[in-house]
Amino acid sequence: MKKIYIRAAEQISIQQPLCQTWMTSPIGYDAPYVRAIDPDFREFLAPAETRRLSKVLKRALVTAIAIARETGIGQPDAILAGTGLGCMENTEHFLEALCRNGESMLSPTHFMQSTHNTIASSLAIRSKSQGYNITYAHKDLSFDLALQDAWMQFRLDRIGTALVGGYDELTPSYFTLLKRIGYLGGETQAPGAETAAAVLLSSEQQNALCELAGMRIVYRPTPERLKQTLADLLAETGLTTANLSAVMTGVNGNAKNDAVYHNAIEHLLPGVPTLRYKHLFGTNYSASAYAVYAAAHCLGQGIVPAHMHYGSVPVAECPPQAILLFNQSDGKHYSFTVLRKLCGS
Amino acid sequence: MEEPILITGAGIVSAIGLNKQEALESLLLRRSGIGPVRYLQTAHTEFPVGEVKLSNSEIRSILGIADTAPTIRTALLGMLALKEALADANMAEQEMSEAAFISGTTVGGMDKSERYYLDFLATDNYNAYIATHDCGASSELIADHFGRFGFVATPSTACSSAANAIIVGANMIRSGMADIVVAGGSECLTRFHLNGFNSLMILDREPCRPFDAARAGLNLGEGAAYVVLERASSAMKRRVKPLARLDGYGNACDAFHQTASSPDGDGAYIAMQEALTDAGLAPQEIHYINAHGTGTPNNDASESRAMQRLFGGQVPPVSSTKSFTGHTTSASGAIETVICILALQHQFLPVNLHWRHPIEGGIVPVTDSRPSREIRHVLCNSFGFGGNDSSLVLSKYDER
Repeated sequence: MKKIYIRAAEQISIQQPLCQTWMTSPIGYDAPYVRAIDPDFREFLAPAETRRLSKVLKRALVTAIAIARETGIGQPDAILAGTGLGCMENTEHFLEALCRNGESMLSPTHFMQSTHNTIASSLAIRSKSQGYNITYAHKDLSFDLALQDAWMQFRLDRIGTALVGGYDELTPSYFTLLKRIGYLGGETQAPGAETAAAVLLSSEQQNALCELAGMRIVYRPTPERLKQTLADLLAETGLTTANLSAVMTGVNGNAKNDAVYHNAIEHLLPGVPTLRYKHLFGTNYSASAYAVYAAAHCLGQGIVPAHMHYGSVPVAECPPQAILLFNQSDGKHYSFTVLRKLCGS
Repeated sequence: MEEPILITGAGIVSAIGLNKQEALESLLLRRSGIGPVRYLQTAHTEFPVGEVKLSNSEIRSILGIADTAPTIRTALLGMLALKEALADANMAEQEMSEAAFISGTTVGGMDKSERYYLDFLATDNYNAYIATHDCGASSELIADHFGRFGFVATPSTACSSAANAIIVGANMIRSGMADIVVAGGSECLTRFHLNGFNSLMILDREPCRPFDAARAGLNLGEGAAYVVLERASSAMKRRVKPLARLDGYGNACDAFHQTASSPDGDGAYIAMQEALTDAGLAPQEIHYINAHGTGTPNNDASESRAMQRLFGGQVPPVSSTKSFTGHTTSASGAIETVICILALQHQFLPVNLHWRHPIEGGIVPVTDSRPSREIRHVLCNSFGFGGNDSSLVLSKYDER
């Protein structure tokens, strides 16, 4: 089977944008809600775009432009997006006007850019990419589902390059709502934040950060099925739990969320060192995009920053060889992804 | 040769009926489901809509869901359609853990959000509906009503969501990730959508007239539909009778504008062409096209152009069944797929209602349901905001 590589990975988040300074000097937060640190959009976008577009769209475009500059691939064969809530800022504008002012005098501007697929289609419109284009909106698995679809497209030999991103914006009102349902905003929890992170997948290895070796998503598995799912993935990638340098999970200080990870790791991956990333990038439906982003750079640079470690199993000093990404939603929906160091690097 | 993907079950709920039989009768009797607003709470009663003729409590009682359990209309409609599809395909509960459920939607739980949004902000009283706002929640509600699907996903590409759900499902089968995938979509009417489309000034105050020179916009509809896609060997093993085949598909992006289609219908053209190539068919082997045909001046002109580019002077019979169901947005791809399956099974051409005058240089849609030849392969188009254009090739299933 042809291999799939991650050629570039970029982010805008609550860390310094479009760079990896979080590896050596992470910004720490002690707040329940933090909005992303935006780069100077004017360096990337036309004045009309900086004025007109909502935050999530600008961030999505800019991460894609940064990736295009890095890789020279500005027109990927496929564009895939994962977003839990889509263009929330625009949706909320329209919804709030509807609820407060009734059904008259509504302007089309916000409605036009409210659908979830606005992000992936804006990326296509800007780069004139007429290839495969899709958006997934499915809670914390939104990005993982987009990544798996890209994986499938490569396997079917339909594409040679793909831009896959996770995107969500968190407005103040929506923070309030998600706090009400206990999803984020808890005292001990990583901040509720926003997502804009994308990777460029390619069947060519040139200057790649790492290999996307395989992935599996499973819904409402029995404990046996979950175990089998992971075993199948490891077998397919030629790995055992002993070869895994670490498992990177979505623990974020929310007791209910973390318990699912702890439980599963105790049963499925005993003795494997554990890493976290949400303390750096915050919590959001599409935050798992940061796991792929962060692990790709750890493998690319051959180092796992100490501040990512948690749990009692120490991470080996040597450069990481393979990192398992483990994401879940409500203890119902599970995703495993294996990223691997490049051969000979 | 690759193993065919069979369709072994289908369920449909729309303005023209609560199941395949009712939809078939409505299509054959030219009975449109579009009419004055009855269930949606809206001030805009001037716009006809294609509502599913049941209140939420009536659907709850059909499905045996307690009036106290929080749910959303998108999920209720989805459950009705999924129930028919699963029964059709003879899916036992234990087979579901091996099967995937892919359900497209955009509106998700917006029916409750638009009702309680100000309460969401102020109190904890409606938290259950905050949790059902997002698209993924509706798919999980639908899936979980029937048991334990082993895979669930929610594509959201506006009005092509359900078509893309079917494409994702087919790719899962082709790539060996699944043997059975139940795919489609569900979307209820909301004030959010009605006012949004109204603000874009693309709603017709009359019953919509797709492909007519005087067309003045679309009528919104609602509904849900699912098809059971199954690897041929699995269907044979389970001894279930196929309804049709899914032979090919294409997904392309118009990459032109957020809400308008390109004048030459680039995205539509590429999607249809890819679908034909994927199915290994020549244009003349397509015997019917179920067009996206919303009835807006822009879509129908652009789609006509794309069809003429692909089929030259020999455009096969075309119709838009949105003149029956209204534009069911994210569900439309699946609703129209099931209509195509009915056309293949019962060998008739769904007509295009309310058509009178051709668009200058445009296509002339089907007004007589009798086909001039056997309908073997049909094309089903679904296009969305942002130029998310998809096309499916469905084929008649012959016993060998």
